[in-house]
Amino acid sequence: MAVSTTIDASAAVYETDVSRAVRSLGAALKASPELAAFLAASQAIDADTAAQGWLQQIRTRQFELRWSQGDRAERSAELRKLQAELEALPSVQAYYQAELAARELLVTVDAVISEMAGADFAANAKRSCCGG
Amino acid sequence: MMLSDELEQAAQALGQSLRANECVQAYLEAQARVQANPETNSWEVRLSERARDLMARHRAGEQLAESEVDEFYTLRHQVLSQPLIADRDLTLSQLKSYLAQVALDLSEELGMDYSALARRA
Repeated sequence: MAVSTTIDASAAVYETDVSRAVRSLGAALKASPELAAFLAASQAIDADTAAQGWLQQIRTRQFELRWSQGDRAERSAELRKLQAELEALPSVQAYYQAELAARELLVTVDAVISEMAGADFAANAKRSCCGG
Repeated sequence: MMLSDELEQAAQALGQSLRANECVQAYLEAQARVQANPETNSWEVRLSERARDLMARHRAGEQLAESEVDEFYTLRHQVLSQPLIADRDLTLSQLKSYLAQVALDLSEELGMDYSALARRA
């Protein structure tokens, strides 16, 4: 039908516009110093054997805390100690700083998108648990 | 935080193209109909004030009476059953689904979870 063809064609144009806008924004964000630093910091953590060792121990303790019986207070204290050790690593501190700067940039970008769209973008960008 | 011209323009372009999408349009129109209807609008304000009050008292450690909680759920049911509000909530659910897909596409472009990082704490 002519009417539905027109509507379908309009929807396709919108989708092309959105897809193009997503790619442009993605490229501009990836070129920003904040996101480049954050990606580099993430890669540095992945390559840091000390950090990966602490992370593995933390995951093990978290699993034990959740599923094992025994002294929960003692296990919680151990977990906090491991987390403190991890957070003291220079690569992890650099990661937190880079993450903070990346978040600040993305929150600002999101405010611009939301204002133009007329609806909050990131806050609404989640599927409802009930199939919505 | 100041954005570079390139980022500002790219973010504006995405916002504009989202606004043109039929899911976003349907939600904005449904929301405008709710706000333009004084009766529906006042039901919603009343529900939101009641929820805020109960939550604040619960957080402060007060034991809420069962009748008070039941009363709240009755009010909530009445409000959510209002046709204009039900219609707005349906369009909101569709909007969320659409925006989730767009955010997923953006996350794939970036190699990181956009919505998790861009959401205000």
